[in-house]
Amino acid sequence: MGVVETRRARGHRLSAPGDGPPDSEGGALVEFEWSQEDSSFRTQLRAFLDEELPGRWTGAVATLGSRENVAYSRRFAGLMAEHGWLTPHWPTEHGGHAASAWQHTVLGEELWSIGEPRGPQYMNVNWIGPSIMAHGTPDQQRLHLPLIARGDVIWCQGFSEPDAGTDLTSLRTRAELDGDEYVVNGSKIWTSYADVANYCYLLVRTDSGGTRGQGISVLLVPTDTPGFAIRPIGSMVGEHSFNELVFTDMRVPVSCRLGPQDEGWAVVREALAYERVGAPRWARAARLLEEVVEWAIANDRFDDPVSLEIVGRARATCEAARLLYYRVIDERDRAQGSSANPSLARVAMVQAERIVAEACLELMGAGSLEYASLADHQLRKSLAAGVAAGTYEVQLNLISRLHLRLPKG
Amino acid sequence: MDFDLDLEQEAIVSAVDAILDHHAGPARMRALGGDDPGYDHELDRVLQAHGYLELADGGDGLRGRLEAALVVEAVTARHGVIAGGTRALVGPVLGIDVPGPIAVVAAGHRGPARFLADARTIVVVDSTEVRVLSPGPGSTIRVRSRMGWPMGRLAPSGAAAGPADRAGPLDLEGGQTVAVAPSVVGAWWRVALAAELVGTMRAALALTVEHVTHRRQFDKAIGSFQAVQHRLAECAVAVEGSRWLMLEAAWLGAPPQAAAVALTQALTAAQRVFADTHQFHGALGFTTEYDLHLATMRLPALRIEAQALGRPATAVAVERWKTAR
Repeated sequence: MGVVETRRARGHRLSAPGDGPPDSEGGALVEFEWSQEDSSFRTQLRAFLDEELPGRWTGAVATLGSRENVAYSRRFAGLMAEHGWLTPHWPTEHGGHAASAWQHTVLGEELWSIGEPRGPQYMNVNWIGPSIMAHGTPDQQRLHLPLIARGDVIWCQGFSEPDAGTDLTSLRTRAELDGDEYVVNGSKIWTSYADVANYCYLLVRTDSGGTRGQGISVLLVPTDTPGFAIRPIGSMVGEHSFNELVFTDMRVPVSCRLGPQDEGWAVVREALAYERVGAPRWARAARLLEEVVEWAIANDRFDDPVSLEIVGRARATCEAARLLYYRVIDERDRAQGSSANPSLARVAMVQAERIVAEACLELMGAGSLEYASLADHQLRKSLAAGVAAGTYEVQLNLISRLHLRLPKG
Repeated sequence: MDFDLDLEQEAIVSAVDAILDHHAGPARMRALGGDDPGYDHELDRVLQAHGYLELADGGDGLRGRLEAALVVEAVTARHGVIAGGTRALVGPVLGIDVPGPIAVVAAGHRGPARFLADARTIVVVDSTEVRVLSPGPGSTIRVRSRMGWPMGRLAPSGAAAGPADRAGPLDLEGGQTVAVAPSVVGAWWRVALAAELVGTMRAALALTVEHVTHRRQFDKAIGSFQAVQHRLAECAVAVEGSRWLMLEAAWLGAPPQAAAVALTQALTAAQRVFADTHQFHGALGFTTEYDLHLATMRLPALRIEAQALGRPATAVAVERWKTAR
């Protein structure tokens, strides 16, 4: 195979559209298996979850991480912290173990697939903590990081506004400097867990000049600050309730600002880069599909050819999402630059959530109609999948630009 | 987990691509007959001579299967008219050396099948055994088609020169039984088809991306319209997902469930890619002067073959939830 040897010497690589930049060392062998270390981590974690969870939670996938169970989430996060599993990926100086991105993924998969018993705390450990590590003052780090690492605190994210959703940089909540305090006025919306949160990671406008990305600042605000009002909004999604936040002359010390004034957009973008691909929604969808098939088998509803076909397609869609998700983790593990891969994975995960909802309805038939049935739950969950943390359409835009390199509109 | 090709894998794909530069592509397919092409014995010979269709034979067991799948994908991405999938991925598990081209059919197959008129070996996948036949001269005939592959069928028994449309059930009961389970051959057949689907879809999608980037209407490239972008982005997700499932199935050694999953996803993707790549080409896409049909029309042919052993999505459900019970 003379040709092979010549080419090998030159180090040519397969180029598919959207591949990241070539790894100068040439990658190791393609491998679809977990390392011994990661597998044994998963085994330990499952043993713990089996001991901690069964019997206590019926229909756990549906309700475990919900707003109603927030007291349990606090206790659960504390237990995880005791095992060193709440922030294993954090650097050691902040109480982590510098675990690999793959261990972090195992953690996400196992917990999301049973309904995310950490509740809102996945947000703290995944990106709010790291954001404070990167931009916080020593005082901010001393205050917040130990609380997060122990599971003693709940955060909410004050991002969306009534007129600033997907177009987030058009946000208008104002913070005017008055001595050593900001005076904040405005409102936020769709804020999950705000009613139980201790702190809010709040985006405000400190300067209205310049481009829209400029003049934004990040404030780390205690939710019991006077002038911080919270109004719950009913939601049909069932995951947890939404809230509207209204700020009226809320005074926040300058010492609560994270990062430089007016340059908060860069801070936020960097923070969200920790969470480029988001939660492993495919793992939850796949787990729910298992549960609904078990239900169907137990109820003699698993022989209809149409049902088998849609369940098979749903399983295949979850599997595709799994590999596209893993590809992002692999990329992050190598610290490669930005690519369309997170968007490919997110779109695939939304598709997985949706087809699993279809499969649930198909398999359960009239059983779907019952309150909080698996089908009822998944149908609602699938609605949120394409909206939360960046819409499906925004992901498609990114794929068009970064992966297909289509011309700008 | 590691999703980067290593240097040797990259080298193999580059080397195969270099061969395909000279021996494949739309112009070569047209020279062979276009959408009803003759078998490309020349390409087959060159790839064989370099060992690229036998990568799965070498090394330690499963090593080589991923590489073989990459080669099959690359060959179809460049419109290769050879039975690459069966040679590179099905042939190695038969346990005996058989001459190519290899055609694979299910027992009781009726009607045309890919490569049947060109095959020196026909593999018959029956419910309890796998048989290998060596068709003699005149025992197979070409069938006209415009699905982008050389199609053939067995000549009716006792009337080798009889009209093709009188052909009844193929007489595939004979041949030599080989010592391999039908499920093993079936699974590799599914992986091979998934690889061919992925390669073909990549060809169609690449041509479409190029077209919408250059075609201007209303003073804009049509690829700048969001209606077009979003559907092509969905095609890209479908193709990428299918591709990694196919590679994973090959790497794992074609477990029946993984093989069925890969093929299921590739078939779903193919439906989308077929419809959307044509739609965005407008009338140009259905002219025979333009190359799109050379890729797209192959997709329904692969889809038909993909259902030879039953519907792959049903197989996923059965493998996952019914087999063990």
